[in-house]
Amino acid sequence: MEPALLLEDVSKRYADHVAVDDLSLSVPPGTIYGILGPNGAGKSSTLRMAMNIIARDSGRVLLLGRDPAVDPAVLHRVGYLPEERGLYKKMRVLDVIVFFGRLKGMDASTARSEGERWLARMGLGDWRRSRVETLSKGMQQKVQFITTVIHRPELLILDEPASGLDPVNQEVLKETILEARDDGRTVVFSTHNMAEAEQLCESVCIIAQGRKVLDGGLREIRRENRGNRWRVDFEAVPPEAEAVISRTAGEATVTRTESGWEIGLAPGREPHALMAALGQLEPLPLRFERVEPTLHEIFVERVGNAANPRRREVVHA
Amino acid sequence: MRELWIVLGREFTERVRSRSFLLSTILTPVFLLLIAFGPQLLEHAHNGELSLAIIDATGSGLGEATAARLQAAGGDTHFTVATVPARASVRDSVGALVTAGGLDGYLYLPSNLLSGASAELRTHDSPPSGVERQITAALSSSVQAERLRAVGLAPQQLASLLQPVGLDAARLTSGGQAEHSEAAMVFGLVVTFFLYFLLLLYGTQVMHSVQEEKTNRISEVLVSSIRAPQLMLGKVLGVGGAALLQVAIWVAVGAAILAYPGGPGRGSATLAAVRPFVHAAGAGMLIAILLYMLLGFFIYASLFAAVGAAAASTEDAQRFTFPVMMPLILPIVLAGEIVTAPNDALAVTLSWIPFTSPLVMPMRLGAGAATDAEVAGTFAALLVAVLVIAWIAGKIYRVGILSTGKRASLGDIARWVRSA
Repeated sequence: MEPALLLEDVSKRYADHVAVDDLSLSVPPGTIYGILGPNGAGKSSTLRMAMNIIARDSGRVLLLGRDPAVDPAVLHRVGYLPEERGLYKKMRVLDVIVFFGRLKGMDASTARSEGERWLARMGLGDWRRSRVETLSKGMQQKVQFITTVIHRPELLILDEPASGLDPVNQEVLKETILEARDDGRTVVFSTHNMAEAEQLCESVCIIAQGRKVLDGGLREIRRENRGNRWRVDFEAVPPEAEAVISRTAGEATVTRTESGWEIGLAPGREPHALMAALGQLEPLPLRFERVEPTLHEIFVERVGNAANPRRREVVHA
Repeated sequence: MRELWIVLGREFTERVRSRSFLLSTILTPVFLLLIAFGPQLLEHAHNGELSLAIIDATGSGLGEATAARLQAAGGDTHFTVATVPARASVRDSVGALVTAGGLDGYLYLPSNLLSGASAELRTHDSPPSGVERQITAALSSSVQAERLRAVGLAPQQLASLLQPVGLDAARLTSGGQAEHSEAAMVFGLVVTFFLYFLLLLYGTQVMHSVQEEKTNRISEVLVSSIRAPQLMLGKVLGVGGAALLQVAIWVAVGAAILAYPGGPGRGSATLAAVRPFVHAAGAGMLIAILLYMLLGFFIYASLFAAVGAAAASTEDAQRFTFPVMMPLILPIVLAGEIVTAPNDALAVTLSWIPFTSPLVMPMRLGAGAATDAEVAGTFAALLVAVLVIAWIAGKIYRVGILSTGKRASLGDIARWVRSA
């Protein structure tokens, strides 16, 4: 199937640094796709180039199969939420929604009725005649989210959608993203929060310093990066367990957990001997399982702790 | 094209619905009429009475004669005059009275006035305009009459000799009719003030509107739905439409008041004063003014749009605003010179510079100085300038609305124009 979003060797250079460096990624249609990375990794630049808000220096972008630089009409089938939010403060809530809906090709009456429906669903029905500036920040974010999805776009591109939302509204956002996917839409979003991405995404692309670190399906990524770590849990820990582990695990890092141990075996060493020895214990272990690494752990392993962005957020001319 | 209309419509309705639109529709004419006619009204109110003592040292009755002439004069000021014989120290005591404010002033006629000495006028406040002229006229007539009588002319002969001459000033229109010029001149001046206000008011509105979209990152969403040049054009036209609506309201209300017979306006001195201005202007001048207004708006709206796009914040915008406003302010500061000498190099030069011509040409048209060829020529220059400026502003706009963070230097802006 044709990817909903395809980037091939896309680069963006500014006077003093390279924001995006030869990035390629492919978003399968009908999935939720995360673009992950620390602040300043080039996530926003990537999404802006996908939307043709900024021009790429080189490479190819296909949005729903079309290059938005050549065929801007395709942008009507996309909903975009910028990283920094903002609406016309003096306008009335429903008028703002209708305005953006019409700009995306809806007729005024459809935009109005859809807007009312969305506002009711988001619990903002009573606010439709209010000026935007009288709404709380969270409510404004919801209104902006409505302006992004009102025209039922096939592809949603959301830049840090959860930032600034309280936990309740983060939950609302998560639900709407999942619903959009269930409706057959594709959702691409960026985040620096790996845990958030793990909950939602089927596929991810991790970038750091403008370069791709890894990408693909979350399950495959986990499998390829899972290493050789095992976890054993007991209902009641037998006293001789620790000795058994240190005797049979060989060269290993053993960490005590709440109800057992986490055992990092040496690369290539099979866990069978360890499993057999643990099977002799009384009581038996509750479970013995391979530890799936978190995205964060994979990321740290691949690029080191790139918590420090290498540049400030600056002009995008 | 559809998107352009949507942007235009939003810009127009949001503006027209706002409270500030209603306020400026009502207050701007009041304010401008106060500026235009206020000083005159104030002067009229002030001038009513002027008490004057004439200290006559000539001993030939010149004091009485001058007093009679002043009191009979039909000028703006009504004189109350007392004649005082010139005894010793009278000047000092009358002077003290004037200093204390008991008297508005005194006029001292020295004994050798008839042989060419000057009279002295001393007043409590600086005398209102026209008073000196009136006193000089009354005094000259009295002195001339006295001199002629001394030569031996009879009083009847005097009257016909001293009969004052009237001057009816008017300009010839292209149709050959005599037209009273002052009315059209004042009309041109008032129109220029209105244009100045409109261009400034709505130009800065374009700037603020662009700033709002830039600082709230609305631009990012907009440019994924509409191309930047269309977005800018939609804004300029939407704001311009609101401006035109406001002008239309002013014109309609003004015309209704002027046309309504027996209405509250009839007989009002202000309206009686306004009517001839409008008649004097004529249809051709009104159409020309409308066109200058439109083209002027496009120039300044484009410039202000570029300023709004280039500035990183509202405070930063101030830095660019003044240079843009300069050519708007210049004709207002020089209005006096332009109206009184509408064919001097200054006025002519300014009317060929596209930034100033929309404001200067109405004044020159009102003063009857601009030829048809000049009107056509300056229109052509304006039109070319509008296209060039909109093109450059469009490039600054396109890059500017999406660039965030630091302040753009002039060098940056020049690069945007070249690169975009």
